[in-house]
Amino acid sequence: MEIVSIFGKNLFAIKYAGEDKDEFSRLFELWQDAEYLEEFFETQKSDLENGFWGAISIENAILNTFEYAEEFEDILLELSEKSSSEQIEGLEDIFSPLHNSQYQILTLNKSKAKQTWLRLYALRVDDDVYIITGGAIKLTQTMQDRRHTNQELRKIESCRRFLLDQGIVDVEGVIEEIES
Amino acid sequence: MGKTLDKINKLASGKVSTWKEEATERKNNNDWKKRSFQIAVRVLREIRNQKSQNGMTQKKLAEAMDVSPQYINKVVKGKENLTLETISKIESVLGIQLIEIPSFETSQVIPVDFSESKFALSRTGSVSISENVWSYSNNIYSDATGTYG
Repeated sequence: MEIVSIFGKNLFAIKYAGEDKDEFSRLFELWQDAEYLEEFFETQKSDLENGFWGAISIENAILNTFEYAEEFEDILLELSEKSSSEQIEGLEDIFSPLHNSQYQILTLNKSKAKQTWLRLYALRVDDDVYIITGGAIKLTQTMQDRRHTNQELRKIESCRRFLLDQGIVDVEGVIEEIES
Repeated sequence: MGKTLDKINKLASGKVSTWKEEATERKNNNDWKKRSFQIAVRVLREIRNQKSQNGMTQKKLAEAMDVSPQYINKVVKGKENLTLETISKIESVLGIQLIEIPSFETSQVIPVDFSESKFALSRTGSVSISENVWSYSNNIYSDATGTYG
């Protein structure tokens, strides 16, 4: 497990052993990979037919995800060009804490402009440093409901232990990104 | 705070993600990549639909098009800048239409009244509009410097 810098002084990501890319880079590539998304939504079909987000066809789910990822990436690219203090403010706006260490999920804002299922998970270190541990397309209300989101909980925990082992003792909590 | 950040930077030891470079490349090629992605989705869904009927797979599509499976895999990821030749071959093998060109579209022409000084004519004959006084038609207009329409 390695840590790599994403941009500026405050955003990092984990690169897991055996992976070519860090989690941040890997996820944005996956979320714009038609083959991956088609396979993913085909296996999660039941969650699309009558799930948390209502009834959505697989085709629309794939195309929507591409749009969400593109919009999200634009926000982050723009942020990467800003000053250090603006980046800190921007990251604070983008990331919101989970309720507690049991990973209780925040109530998602269901207003239409904010409707999206992309998630980046991070550990917040001190006040304004974030380390991305993974991410997911979250189609259910809680992360425990599906294997792929449950796996993200395990990844967050293993990263937390890694950081503690490395003497980074100020891990404040688990963060779930909700797109603004 | 400083100490923690120092420790993280030490762990990162100068390693920087490839994300920004990749994201910039995606943004710069946004227009065609979006179309490539849409085509990929259509192709993938069609392969899946046909699989139960005629056993269609990416590999079989590649064979029928006389291209490598690796190339088809790039196509179905939505990352290939497709040529019309490739699109036509996919359409032919899968029996679907991927792009459609509108049958006919007339261009809109702005009539120019040169008797008033609302327009400035450049040396190349192009027209700059200085006031919003246009209406649309498909007529052709001429003057001493050329024909417009």
